[in-house]
Amino acid sequence: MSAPRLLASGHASLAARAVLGAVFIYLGATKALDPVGFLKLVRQFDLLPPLTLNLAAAVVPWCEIVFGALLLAGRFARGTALVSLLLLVAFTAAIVLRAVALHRSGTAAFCSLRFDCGCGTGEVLICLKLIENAGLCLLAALITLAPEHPLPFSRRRAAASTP
Amino acid sequence: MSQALLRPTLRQAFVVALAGVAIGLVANALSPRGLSLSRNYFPDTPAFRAAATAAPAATATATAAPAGTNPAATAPARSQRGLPLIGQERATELFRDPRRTEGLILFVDARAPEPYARGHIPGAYPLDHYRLELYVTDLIGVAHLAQEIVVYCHGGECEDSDLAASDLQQLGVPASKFSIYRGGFDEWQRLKLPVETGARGSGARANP
Repeated sequence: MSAPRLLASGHASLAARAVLGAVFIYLGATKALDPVGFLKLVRQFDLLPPLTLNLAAAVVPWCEIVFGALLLAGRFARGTALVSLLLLVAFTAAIVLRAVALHRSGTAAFCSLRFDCGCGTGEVLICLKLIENAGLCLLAALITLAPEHPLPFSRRRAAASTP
Repeated sequence: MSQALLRPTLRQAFVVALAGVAIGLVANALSPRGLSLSRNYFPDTPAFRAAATAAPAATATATAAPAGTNPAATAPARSQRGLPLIGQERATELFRDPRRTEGLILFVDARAPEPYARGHIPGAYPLDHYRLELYVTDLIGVAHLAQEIVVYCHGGECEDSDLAASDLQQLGVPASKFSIYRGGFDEWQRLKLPVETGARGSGARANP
């Protein structure tokens, strides 16, 4: 199947939803299980004042779980993908800012920098993290823009309810 | 994206974002691990501020010191918030001091409950800065009675021991009693010094 036909069929959107949804649920759950750890990591970015920091550390992991669940279920998929995209862009910008600051304060090459960005995957090579986030952004953009594909169970439910 | 699709997508995005925040707030409030939204978890401590304001005076003293001496070299190293740092030798010395068994020297473990249960310096009181209310009633009386309080966390750059010491200072325990064991539990365990597992006073030892 050619790329345009794959996009038009909705299969690409379905696959993107499955991948992005699962990733968001996994990363959100990792942070929700250790909100104090996440709070400390978000603080290292030095971007938020104290009370906003608490709010972000408390709410963001659960938002990721909710967004992941909605993407997997295929409910409000376009809107969820758009919010996920904005969240990913904000996270990625914060990681770039911190990596640039670390790079300027030391002698290490940019792509040899590694730190725990609070992304839920522990300490990582920042260049790899940026590539990963770019991939997730593409998936979110694809779900937002490409034709939707309902999950199989939605079709069965629709068929069952037809007289 | 067509105009016809743009508006419902934006509306969906707004509703989804609101739902995410609302669910997040409820889940955080219900979760036993939830964060307080109104507490500043990383305050500046009085000791930190005192150390910062005392710096010019220390500089003035340094200029008056006799030639050939370096007061900075003899001054004790300080934590980020101005508390004296001690090394493994001093920590072990205090651990073996008979005053520890009399409650006059206190060890305080500022790590989270899970690593504390896996192993801590025998007799150390737990004090998780982020769940202060669970520990402070057990600790505040003995902290007032103690002559010296050694606080530790994992070691290295962990800030939790500083924050736990700051919590006790805010409850009236004088800053002069505190020191921070710089190497922390990671170093203690690496050196195979005595370790107690489970609850404080459980008697279960991981190392002799």
